[in-house]
Amino acid sequence: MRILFWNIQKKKLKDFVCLITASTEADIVVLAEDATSDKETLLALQTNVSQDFYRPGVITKSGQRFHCFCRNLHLDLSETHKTKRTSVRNLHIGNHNILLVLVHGIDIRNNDSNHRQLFAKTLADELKFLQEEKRTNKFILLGDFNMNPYEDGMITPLGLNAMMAKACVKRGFRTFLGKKYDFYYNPMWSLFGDNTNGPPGTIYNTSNQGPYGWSMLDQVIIHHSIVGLFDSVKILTEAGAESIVSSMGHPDVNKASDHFPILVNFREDNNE
Amino acid sequence: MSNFWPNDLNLSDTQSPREILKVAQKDWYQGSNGVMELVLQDARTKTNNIMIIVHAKHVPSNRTVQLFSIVHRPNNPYPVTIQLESNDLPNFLKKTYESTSPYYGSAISALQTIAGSKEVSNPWVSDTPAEFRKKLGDVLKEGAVKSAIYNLTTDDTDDTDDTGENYQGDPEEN
Repeated sequence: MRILFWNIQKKKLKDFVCLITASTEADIVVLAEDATSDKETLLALQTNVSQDFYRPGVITKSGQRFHCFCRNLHLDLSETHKTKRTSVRNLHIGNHNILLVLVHGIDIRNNDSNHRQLFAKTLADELKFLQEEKRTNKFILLGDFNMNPYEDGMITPLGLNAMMAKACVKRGFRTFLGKKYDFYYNPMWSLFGDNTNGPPGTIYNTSNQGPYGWSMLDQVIIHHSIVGLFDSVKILTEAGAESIVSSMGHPDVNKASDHFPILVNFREDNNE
Repeated sequence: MSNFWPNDLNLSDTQSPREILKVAQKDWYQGSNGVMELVLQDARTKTNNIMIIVHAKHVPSNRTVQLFSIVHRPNNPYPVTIQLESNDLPNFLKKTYESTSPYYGSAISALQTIAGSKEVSNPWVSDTPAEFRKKLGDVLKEGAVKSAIYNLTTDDTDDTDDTGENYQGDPEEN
C-alpha cells in the first residue's frame, strides 16, 4: 500500500500529480498547498490514472489544508478529527485500524525555531487526546512538518519522540521526569546526505531559513507498535518520464514545486 | 462614609473556568440528547500556563473537531482568556471581519508601535466567573462553532469543489 505526499507550493500541478500517481501506483494521494480544486484533481486522476479514485469524506471543507484521494474503499481515509493544522484520517492497513495524522507545521519564514518546537508539543498533546478519544495508539504522521528530523520538536520526549532507527524504538517508550513517552520511528533520517539513492533532502534553501542547504521537512513517522507495517520511503525526483529536478539537482521550482514528493510504502500482511 | 469594597464582586460565585466548562459540557449533552459532547483536553502553554483545549464531539460517529482553548496562570484561575481557533473561513463567509489584510496587518501594527503606544483590547479575557460564563456562552454561539456542529453531524457526501481559494494558508508559507 503506497501513500504519496506532496507539498505543491500553491501551484496547479495536477498533470504532474497524475504522472507520479500512475508511475508509482500510489493508492493514496495527499497534497498540501494545492491550488487546484480537489474536484478538478479528482477528475484528472480518474481520467488519467484510475476510475477508482474518490475523495474521502471530511468533517468540513472549509480550511482544509490537504487534498486527499484514495483508490481503494477498504483503506477508508475518512476524516475523524480536525484542527487548524492537522487532519486525522481513519486508515485500514491489513487488519490494523490506524489513524493517519496529516500534518502541516507552522512555517519557517514566519515562526522562529521556538515556536515550531512548540507546535510539535501541541501535536504531541493532540496525539494524547486522540489516544484517549479514539482508543488507539496506532498513529502514522505524514506531512510537511516544517522541522527537520533532528530538531528538538521531532526528537524530545515532550515533542514527537521520533527516533532515527527501528532498533531505538523497540522498547516502546522512554521515561522522562517519571512519565512514559511512546517512541515513533522516523525513517527520513536514512535519506539524508549524498550517500543515498535519492536527493539529500526534500527541499533546498541556503538562506537563513535553510542553514544546512538541504532540509527534510516532508516526513513520515510511525508509532512503535506498527513499525512492522513500514516497508520503505523514497524521495521522488521524477513524474513518470519527466524530471522534476533542476540542473543544479534541486527541486525544479520553475517546472514543479520547491518540495520533492515522498512515497511511503506499507506492508499489508503484517499482523503483529 | 468610605466604600472601598468593589461592589461588583460576588464572593458566592467562585466557580473556576474548568467547573464552568463542565457545566457547559452537561448542557451540551442534555441539549443535544446525547448526540454532541464537549470534550476537555488538558495541556500547558509554552510558558507553563494552564490550557484547556475544547473539542466538539459527535458521539454516534466519534468524530471530533477542535473549537477553542482557554488559558490561565497556574493557581490563578482568573483572569482567563478564550483563544479561538483562528478562523480559516474566507472573509466572504464571515459575518464580520477586519478589512486590514493579515499580511500587512503586522507591518501596520509595527508602524503604530514606532509612532507611539497602542492600546490593544482583548475581548476574550474574563476577570470573574460571571464574565467568563458570559463569554463562554458567546463563543459557543459563534457562527464558526455552529458550523462545526452541523459539519460534524452531517456526512460529507456533496460534490462541491474545494477550490484553492478555500485554502488560504498563511501569508508566506514554505
